[in-house]
Amino acid sequence: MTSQNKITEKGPFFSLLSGLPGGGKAFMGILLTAACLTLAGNLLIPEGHALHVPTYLVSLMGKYLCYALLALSVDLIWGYCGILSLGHGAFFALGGYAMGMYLMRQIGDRGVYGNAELPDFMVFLNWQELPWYWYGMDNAFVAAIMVMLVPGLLAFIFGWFAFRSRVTGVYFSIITQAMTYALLLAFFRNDMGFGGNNGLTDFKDILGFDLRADGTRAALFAGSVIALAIGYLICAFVTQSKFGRVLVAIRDAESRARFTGYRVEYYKLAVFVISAVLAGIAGAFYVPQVGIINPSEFSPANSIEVVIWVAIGGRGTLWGAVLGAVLVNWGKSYFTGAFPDLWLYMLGGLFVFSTLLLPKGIVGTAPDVKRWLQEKMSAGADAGEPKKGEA
Amino acid sequence: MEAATLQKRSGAVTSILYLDGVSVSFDGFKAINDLSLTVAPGEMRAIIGPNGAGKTTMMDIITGKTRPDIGEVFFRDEIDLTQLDEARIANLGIGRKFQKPTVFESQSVFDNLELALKCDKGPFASLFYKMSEDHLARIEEVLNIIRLEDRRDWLAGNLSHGQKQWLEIGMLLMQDPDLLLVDEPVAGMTDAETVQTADLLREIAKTRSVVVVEHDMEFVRALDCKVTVLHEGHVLAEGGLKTVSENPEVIDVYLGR
Repeated sequence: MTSQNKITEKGPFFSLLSGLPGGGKAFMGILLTAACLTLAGNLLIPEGHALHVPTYLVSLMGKYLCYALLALSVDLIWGYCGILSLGHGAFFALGGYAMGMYLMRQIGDRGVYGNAELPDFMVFLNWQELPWYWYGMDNAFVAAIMVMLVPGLLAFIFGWFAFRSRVTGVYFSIITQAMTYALLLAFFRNDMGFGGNNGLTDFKDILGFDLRADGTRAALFAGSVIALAIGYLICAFVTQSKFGRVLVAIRDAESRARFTGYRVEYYKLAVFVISAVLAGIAGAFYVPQVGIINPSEFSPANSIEVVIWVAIGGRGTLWGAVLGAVLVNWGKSYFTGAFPDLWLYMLGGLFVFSTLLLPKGIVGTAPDVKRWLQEKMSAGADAGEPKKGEA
Repeated sequence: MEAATLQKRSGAVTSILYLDGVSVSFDGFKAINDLSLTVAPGEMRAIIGPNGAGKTTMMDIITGKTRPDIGEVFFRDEIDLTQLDEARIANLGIGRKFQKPTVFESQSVFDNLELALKCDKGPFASLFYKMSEDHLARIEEVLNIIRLEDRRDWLAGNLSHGQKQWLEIGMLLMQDPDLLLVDEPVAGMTDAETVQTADLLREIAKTRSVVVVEHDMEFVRALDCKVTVLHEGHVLAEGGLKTVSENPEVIDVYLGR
């Protein structure tokens, strides 16, 4: 019996506790170990020591982890349900803006204009009072709710119309691009009240702690680690439940799923909303670590890049999405420094390469390579045919 | 029409499926033209007809994929199928097998059956679903019926064509439908598989109504049931296979060629 069936019999919660399949346990182990080492290297080992991890590196890794959570959210809908969203950067950016609004309000009267009530850009625009949608954003709790609510609500409304009208495939991908582009244009406008072209920046504190302090940076990194770990657990729970198998069924044979009695649009809507909320949370951890959120985060190219991370890492494997995001972004940090003009070509080349030669991505291909090596090793020694159909 | 209304009032279910004066056209082409058909509870019915006779469109209408322009479609005398969507109709008890075997290829045979199992199919119920003993027993039973016990852990995509057809029939059984619509179940099957499939369908028809669309006359003969001949979206003839195959009109449009 496959492990999947065993899990079903014992219930989804049991499986989460007893063992995360698909390298889940290893993933959690690596993530937490790496996080602890990084934090220890940053906080415990004094500066100047060879093993000291500088704070900028901690924040850089924190940024990668936010990207990893974003990649996870895209993988959940694309890898498991076959919904190719090319606008997921919009949910990420909305979560980021919600966090940015909170951070702007935290500045208080320390801004250039010293206005305790209005952020600098509003004073600059001669606004007299805070727009209604900024109310309550000085409260961390309200902001945290908004980080999840705004992307979730947009995904719900957008998904409701798209899935109910049975918009699928490339048509869906195109309208998601249009959605993020429309938001990009909207957020560029000064009178939207989100800082226009410059976005939100010059943050000072988060929850009363100085954003430039090493301790705060380390805490934000730790927060990103925890957010990614929880996001991973949620995705693992969703994909291992019967719900997850219905998603795969929809991906592989949508009409069969319908005639089997599943309301496909509800499933798609549910997973789309979960995914958007995860993307929003990723954005919220991203903003304080990079120190700025502006409309360029909505740019369609950003959303496409996320899909490339997932494709390279391995769609349909949670681990793959994380690995792809971290690897590609590490490459991006390195190569944009070393060969700034070449990066976009390399990214494009990487996508073509992975589509042609690694259609299952790195994680998806690893078992094939392992099997191939094993067959090579045992060739001649064992003439027995491997059971071809076995799952 | 009047008789049907009377039947509806009388209470006892007299037809599992009732189509009256159904027409549908696509871009001016009348795929179904004034089609009327009644299937009794527990009946097995074979539907034959040349390509383009409207067999698949008829199934689309019954299962909610296509809405008729005019006409009535009732399930169990009183449920108006023209108002419902595919998932609703499936959960009411109408199972459909596609012409091309359609199973969830990247999942195991066991999981395919589990997914088809009759239960609450809402997203929340699925998220917290836990398999009960009853459900497991039901899956084992169907695995046995469709003769795929030793393939339970295979990916459905690795099954042979015939086995996929059976798996799909098994998935219909998991839904526990009152009416099965089966579209060309033996297309591409070997002779031995065809015989086994006929046995399987006859077995199923003991407890449920079955409508089979088929081209293969040998197979229809093996089913040994009432036959409806469709032509240009309309019922041309109805009756036993022998009567129907002697009908000059039928010979003209279909069998004679």
